[in-house]
Amino acid sequence: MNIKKRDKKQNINRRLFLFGGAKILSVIFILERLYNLQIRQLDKYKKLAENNRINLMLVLPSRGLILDRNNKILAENKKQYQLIYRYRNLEERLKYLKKLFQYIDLNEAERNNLIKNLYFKKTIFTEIIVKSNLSWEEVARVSANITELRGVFIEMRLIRSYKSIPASHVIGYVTKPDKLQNPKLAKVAGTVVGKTGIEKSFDKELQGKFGIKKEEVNAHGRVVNEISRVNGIAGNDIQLSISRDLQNFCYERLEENTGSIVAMNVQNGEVLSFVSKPSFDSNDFSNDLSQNKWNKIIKNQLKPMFHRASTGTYPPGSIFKLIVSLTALNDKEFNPKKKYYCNGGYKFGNQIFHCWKKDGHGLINCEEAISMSCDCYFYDVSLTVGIEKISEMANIFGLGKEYFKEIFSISNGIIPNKEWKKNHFNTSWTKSDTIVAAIGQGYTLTTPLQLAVMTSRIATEGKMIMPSILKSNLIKKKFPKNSVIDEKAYKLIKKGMFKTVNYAKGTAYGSRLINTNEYMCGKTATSQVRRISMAEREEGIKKNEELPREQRDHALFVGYYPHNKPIYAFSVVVEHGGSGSKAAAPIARDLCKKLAKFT
Amino acid sequence: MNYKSNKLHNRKVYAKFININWMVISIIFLLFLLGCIVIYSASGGNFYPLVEKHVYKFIFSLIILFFLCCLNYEFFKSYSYYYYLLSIFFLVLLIFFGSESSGSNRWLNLGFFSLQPSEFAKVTLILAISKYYSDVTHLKNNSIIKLIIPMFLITVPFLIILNQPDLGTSILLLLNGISLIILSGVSVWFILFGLVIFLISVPVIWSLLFDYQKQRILTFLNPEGDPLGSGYHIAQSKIAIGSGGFTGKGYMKGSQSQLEFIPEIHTDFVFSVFSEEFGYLGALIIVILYLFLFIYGLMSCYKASNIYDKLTIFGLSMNFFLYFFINISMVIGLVPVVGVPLPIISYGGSSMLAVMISFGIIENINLNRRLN
Repeated sequence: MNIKKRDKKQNINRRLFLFGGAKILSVIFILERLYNLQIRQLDKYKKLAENNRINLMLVLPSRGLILDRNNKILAENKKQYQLIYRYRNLEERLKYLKKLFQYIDLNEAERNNLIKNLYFKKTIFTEIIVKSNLSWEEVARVSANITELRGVFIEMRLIRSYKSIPASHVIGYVTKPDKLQNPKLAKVAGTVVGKTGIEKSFDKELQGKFGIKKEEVNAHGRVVNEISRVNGIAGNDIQLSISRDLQNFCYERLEENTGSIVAMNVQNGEVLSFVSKPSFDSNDFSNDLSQNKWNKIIKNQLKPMFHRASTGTYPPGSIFKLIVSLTALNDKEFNPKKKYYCNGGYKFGNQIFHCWKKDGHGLINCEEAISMSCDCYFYDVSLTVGIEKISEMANIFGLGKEYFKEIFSISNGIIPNKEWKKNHFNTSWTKSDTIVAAIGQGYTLTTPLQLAVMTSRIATEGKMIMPSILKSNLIKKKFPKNSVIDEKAYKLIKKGMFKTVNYAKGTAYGSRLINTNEYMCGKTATSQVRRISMAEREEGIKKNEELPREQRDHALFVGYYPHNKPIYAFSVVVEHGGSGSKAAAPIARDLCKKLAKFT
Repeated sequence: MNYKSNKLHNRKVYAKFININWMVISIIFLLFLLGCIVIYSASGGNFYPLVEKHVYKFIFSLIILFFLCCLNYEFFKSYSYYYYLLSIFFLVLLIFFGSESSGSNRWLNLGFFSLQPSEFAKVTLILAISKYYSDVTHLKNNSIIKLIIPMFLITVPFLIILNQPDLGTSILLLLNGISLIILSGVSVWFILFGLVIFLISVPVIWSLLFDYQKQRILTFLNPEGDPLGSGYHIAQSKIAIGSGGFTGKGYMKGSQSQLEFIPEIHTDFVFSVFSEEFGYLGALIIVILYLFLFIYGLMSCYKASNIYDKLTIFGLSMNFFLYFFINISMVIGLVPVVGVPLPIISYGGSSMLAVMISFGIIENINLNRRLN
């Protein structure tokens, strides 16, 4: 028995040694692992720990302002207060949110939405934006009760604020950066990038340079302290050539109509007014645009986002007669003094092309044909000069050319010629095409900006003026002068334009400036958007008032001011406004009155 | 006679007290001090409440230790089975009266403090198994009964604790029991047979595990699979320890600990905090202090005169060792995070008390041997 017990003890002792050995080996093993972690891999883990602790944050620079020519603000940055709720405790998260509701104005749907949002969040540390634009009263109410509202923070951020709805097309708007197009910026909370207009094309200048902030953060991402900070550089301000007041005036003056007014300074090419009506509110995009609002904008039949002044294309109508006369005057054999008899219709082959004046203008010369806008005269002239020369001349005067291609979305318009027709319709050009083109109908399309440029080149007697949207420091800018056209031709054209407004028989006589020494010169146009059939002609052409809106004629007017020493040139387009002399010319007159006092 | 025996008893108690192995008590005290230092740092430099409570718990546990040292030797051996039954009773009680915290029901609220009966079940299981083997010395080592009854003794608390659910403690208890069976001299063939049975039953056990436990084991096997979920804690703990270097980042300057990257910094991950702030040197000191206690356990076991003493001492010191080994392996990413504290250093009353009771019993047996 005793021996057996001793055996047992020895057996236990043997196994005890094994266990003891295993324990000591385990301890050595642990020391080795620790050595491996703390000594051998120290650098790796040091780096990891440092990355954990330090958070590099980009500091947003403030976006540059957009100013008008008189330093009036078009776009600035506004402080906005955001209400943020960070919750830690899943059970209590709703309690504090409901408490918070006492102090802020939210409607029932918004509240339910927030509660639903919060309820379905599973992670422990999350923050939600309760309201993104707090009013001052709300800020005051929440801050006064901040002690009982756990997890509630008010954060200030800068948002873009726009001061001029009429200038929205020019300025554009900003939105959050797109993840695909702008992956770097999209990572920085609060950044915005320009989406259209100046905001987009001058985004780099406006954006400025990011600063860098080194912060110590804890495991939950909360900032414990700031280690260092390199301030960013604020974006550059952009000063535009447009005038906020003039922009507003033009926008208001268009009243209920849709259309566009472009006014520019012919001495340095600055665009002073670049209005397209209707417009939109760029501010809508600064705070997240609701689907509803967006749909409203998109579905609006009047297309408020469409920048008519640079993208809208209209048949130039009678305005194109200026180009046709310039082409003719450039021809040495053409005698402008020669009288032509207009009887109200022009017979070409078996077709009759009508003058807008049913009974005809009688005997007229070139100057009178411009001022009275006789169609038949130009039908005749166009056939003698031909479409090729006309389209060349149109190009010289800036029609069919691109302006502001890098800044705005634009359209080229169409100045047709033989080649163009061949390319687009695969048919050859006919003489009746030329006749229709002579009065700016048919294929011809121009933008209001192109028309204003054309007018300014006529007003300056051939200076190749290029429009600019940025304010230039020069009062007068040197533009090259084209030498193709004789000075006498300009004199005649300008006289015709003067008579259009200031002679009793002129088409815009009703809109002349009275009681002044400085007069407006211009040209009216009523451009058809529909074809008038033979049957209708026989029954009597329907009056504009009888037609549905989208079939009514566009009313156009181009002009310059003052008559003897032109400073301003402009184009007015009233979509479906009826006749140019009744709808567009009065607007031009008021614009001139405004420009007379313009600085 | 009565007076005389009383006086004799008093002398005996006094003799026991002065003969306590004060070296061991000093090492325990040193570990406790290191615990206070690191809990103070983990509390962000606050003495109250955790460090203060830690001190109270230690003082209470130390008194219990002294008390157990001086008790009559028979007090443990004779009633071993009753202690076992009592702890099973508490574990069952827990099912009905336990207070739940974070999805697990392991605390028994006694009003002034809460106890974790599973910690004590580990101690009483050791006593019960030791008692059993010391009673069946007549049986041959290859007798199947020698295996089955201890296995039953282990299985009951194991299943209850696993069901709480507390994977860490139940595994510790299982390992403890098995190591005792191995030590008792049971045939090697049984042990191999048991191992085969275990491997076969792995899929069954897996299906019984709770989702979060499965998740932890899966995360352990592939920490990169979920770097921001449960693997996050292991990764952050490794970063903390690794970035400590040789001398550490300095007291209260551990960025990983102070900035809350590590979870449970007062309890399970206390070693990470210490190693980050005191480096490899600090970790080495802690490990050496523990090593002294392991050697003390082994020596005591070797010297013990009978089988009950041997097995009890071995079981208790094995339990202490497993705490240490699993906790450190856990924080350096060698085993899954199962929720095992670092004995004496970690904040937490029950494990501290259980460890001190263990040392009390070991020292009691040692004193009994030396004084006779």
